[in-house]
Amino acid sequence: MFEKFGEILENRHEYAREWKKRTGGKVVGFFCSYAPEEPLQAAGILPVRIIGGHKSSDKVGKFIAPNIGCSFCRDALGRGLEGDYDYLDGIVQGQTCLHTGEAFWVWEKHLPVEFSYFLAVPHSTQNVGREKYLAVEYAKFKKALEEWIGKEITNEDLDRGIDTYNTNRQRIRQIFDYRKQDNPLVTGTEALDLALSGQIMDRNEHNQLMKEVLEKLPDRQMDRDPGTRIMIIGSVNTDREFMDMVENQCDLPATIVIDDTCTGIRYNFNDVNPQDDRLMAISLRYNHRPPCPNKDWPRRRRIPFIKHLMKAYNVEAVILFNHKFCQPHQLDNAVIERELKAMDIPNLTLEFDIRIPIGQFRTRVEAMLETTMDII
Amino acid sequence: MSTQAKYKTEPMKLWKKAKEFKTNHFKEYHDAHKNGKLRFLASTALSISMHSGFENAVIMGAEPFAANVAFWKDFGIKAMEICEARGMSRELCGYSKCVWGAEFMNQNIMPAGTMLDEWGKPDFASAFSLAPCHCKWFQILCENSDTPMYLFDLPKAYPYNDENLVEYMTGQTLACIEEAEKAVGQPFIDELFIEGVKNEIKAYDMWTEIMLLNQAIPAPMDEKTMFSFIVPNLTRPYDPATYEFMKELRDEVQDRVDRGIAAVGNEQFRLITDAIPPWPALEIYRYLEREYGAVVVGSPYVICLCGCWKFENDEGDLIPTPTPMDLGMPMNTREETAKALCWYRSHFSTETPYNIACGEVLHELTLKIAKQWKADGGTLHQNQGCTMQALGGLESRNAVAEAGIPCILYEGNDADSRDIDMTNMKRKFDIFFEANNVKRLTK
Repeated sequence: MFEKFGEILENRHEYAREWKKRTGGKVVGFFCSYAPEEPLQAAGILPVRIIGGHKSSDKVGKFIAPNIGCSFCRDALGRGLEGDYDYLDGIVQGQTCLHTGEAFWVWEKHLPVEFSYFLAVPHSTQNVGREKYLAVEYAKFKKALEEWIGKEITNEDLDRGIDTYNTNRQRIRQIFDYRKQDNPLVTGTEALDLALSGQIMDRNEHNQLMKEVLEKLPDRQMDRDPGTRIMIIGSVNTDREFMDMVENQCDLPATIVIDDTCTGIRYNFNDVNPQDDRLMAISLRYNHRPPCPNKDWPRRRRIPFIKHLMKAYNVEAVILFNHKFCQPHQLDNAVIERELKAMDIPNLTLEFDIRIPIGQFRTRVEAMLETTMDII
Repeated sequence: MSTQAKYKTEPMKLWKKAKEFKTNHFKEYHDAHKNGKLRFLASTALSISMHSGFENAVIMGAEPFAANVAFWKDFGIKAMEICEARGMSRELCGYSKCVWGAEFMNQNIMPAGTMLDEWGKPDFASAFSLAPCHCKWFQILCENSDTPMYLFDLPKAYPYNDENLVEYMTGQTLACIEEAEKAVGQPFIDELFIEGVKNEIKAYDMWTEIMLLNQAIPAPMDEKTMFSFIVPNLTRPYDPATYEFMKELRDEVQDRVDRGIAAVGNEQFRLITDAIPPWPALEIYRYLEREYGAVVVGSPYVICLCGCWKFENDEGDLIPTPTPMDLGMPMNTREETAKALCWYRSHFSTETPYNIACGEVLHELTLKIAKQWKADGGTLHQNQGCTMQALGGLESRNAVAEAGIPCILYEGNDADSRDIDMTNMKRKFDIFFEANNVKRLTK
C-alpha cells in the first residue's frame, strides 16, 4: 500500500528529472522545513527537500570541517557536490540552524544555480512582531521569485499553493491517525516513506496517492505484533534503514507510532488558515507550527507538544536521535530526557552519523525494548 | 636569544586602568545586592545599554563573565564537568557551559582569581540570537534559577540597514524594557537610557578609530592586549567613563603610531585570526611574538566586537558605520533611541558577522581585514567551543588563502582547556612559519 512512496523516495532524483522533462517546470531545493513551500508551489515550481544519501563524500571537508559540522548537513552537501542534485534550478534556505545555513552558503558559492535565496525566518517564533516581520520577508521572497520566473504570483496562485499544502498535511495527519490504533495500521517505516516523499515530489501527485491509500487503509489487516510503541524525537529523519531495523529486525517487537521530527508530524501538524493577506496567513502557519529546538524559546512549546503526542499515540518508549554535532537538539535532549525520566518512560539516545553502526544500534534498541517488556 | 629589537616598544599605559576597570565592574556586580542595586545579566550583543534606564542596574555581560570562568582553567573545567554530569555534551557552546557551570555550582571567580561562594544570580536576564544557541543558553540558565528573561530575536545582520529588521528589533527592545520594569519593580528612566545609548555609540565609534590605527606598521597593539581593552565596551558601554577611557586609549594608540612604538619589537610577520581566542591558552600569543616576531593585528572578532562597521559602498573596504548622531537620527524619546541603537548595532558589530545570514559575507569580511590590516598570514581558530564561529572558518581560510595570503586553521576551544593541545598547536604554528620562510628568532 505504501510501496509507491518508498520507491519514489529511493528514486527521488530520477523523479525530479522526469518531472522537469514532463512539465517544463523549475525545481528548487530547500534545506530546512522552515522554507515556505506554498509560494514556490504557487509559482509552478517543484520544491524538493535537499537530504543526504547516507554516503560519505570526500568533497565536503574542504568547506565544512567534519569535527564541527552536523552529519546531516555534511551528507546533504556531499550529495550536491557529488552531482546528485544537478537538476536544481534554485535553492532556498528558510533560516533555522547554523549548520543548514552554512550548507546553503557553501552550496550557493560552489554549486551555482539560477536562483538562490536566504530567507531570514525569525529564530524565535514567540517574540513580539515576528508574524509581521516574516510576512514582509515573504513579500521580498515572492518578489524575487517573480523576477526570476518572469511573471506575477497572484492571490489565486497563492490560494492554489496553500490549498495543495493544506490538503497534503491534512491527508498525512489522517493517515498518521491510524497509527493511534492498538495495532497500528501504518508502521513507522511506512510513515517515514509517506511523509518524506511528500517533501520531494509534486504535492498534487502525492495528494492523489494518499487519497488512494485513505480509501483502502481502513480495511487493512496487519500481520505483525506491534510490540512496544515507540516515539522518535529528533531533527530531520531520513534513515529508513534504522526505522526498518527497529520495527523488523529486533528480537523484540516494536512499532514506531509517532515522531517529533521535521520529516514527520512536526512539519505536518498545522495548516495555513486562509485570510485576505495570504503572506500573513503563511507567516502565521510557519510561526505557529510545532517548533524545532532552535526556535523554541523563551517558553518551551516542544515539551508540551511531545507530551500531547505521547498521550494521543499511547507511547511506551522514546528514542531520541541526534545527528552528530546537531547542537540544537542536544540542548533540548538533556531537558527532554529529564522529563521522560520523571514520567518513567524508557528512553534511549542515539547519535547518528552519515552512516550508522546498525548492529550496535540494534543491540541498544533491544536493550531498551527489554525494559519495556517485563522479561528481565 | 632574540636579536636586537627592530622597533621601539613600551607597555600600554592604560593597561593597568583597564584591568582595574574590569575588576571593579565584576566586584560591583557581585556586591550589587549588598549595595541595594539590581543585577542584570545580558549578552553583549545589543542588550547591555537597553538596561541603562534602570538607575540602580549593574549590568554584566554574559560573555565576559564566561570568558573569565574559562580563563581560570581549574574552575573552568569544574564548570564543564558539572554541565556534562547534567547531560550537556562536550560539543555544546563553551560559554554557555561556563555560566551554567557557575550557576550549578553556585560559585564564581573574580578576574584576579578570588573564588566567590555565590555565582551572581541576576534579577533580570536578556540575550540576542546571534547564534540560535545564544538564547537557548539563557533559556536553560533562567529556567534553572527562575530568573525573569527577555530573549531577542536577531534574524539577520546582513544586508544591514534593513527597515523591516530594525522595526522588528525596535519593537522587541521596547517590549523588553516593559518586561524588565515589571520584573524588577522599578521605573525605567528614559533620560538615562537616551544618555546611555549615546555613550555606547560614541564609545563604539571610538573603538573603530582605535582599530583603524592598528593598520600601521609596526602595529601599535597586539590582539592579546586588545582583549584587556575591550572589557569597558562589553560591560558598561553606557557609562560616560567608558567613552572617556576609549578616548584616552585612542590618544595613546595614536601617540604610539606617531612615534613608531610597536606592540612587538621584532614585528616581522603580521597575522590575523578570526574568532574568540582559546581563553585558557592565551600564552600562544606570546609564543608567536617571542619565537617568530608574529603579531596578531586583529580579527573580525576583536575589530567588530565593540565597534560597528560596514562595507564602503557595499563592496569596498570595511569602514566605521556612521553613528546615528552623525546622521542626525532623532534620539529624543525611548522609541527613537531604541530604533537608533538597533539600526547602529545591526551592522557588523559585536559578533553579528557570525550571524547565519552573514554566511555570504563572513569570508569576505575576513579577507578585507587581512588586506586592510596588512596581514602576511592568517591563523584562524577552529573553535570547538563555538559552532557559530567555527562553521564558517574553512570558507574564511579558503578566501584568505586563495587571495594569496597564507592561512591555516588551528584547533582549540574558547572555554574548555581539555580541548586544547598546546604541543600540537605550537607545532602547527612552527610548520606554518617554516613553510612561509619566517625566521625563528630564538634558538
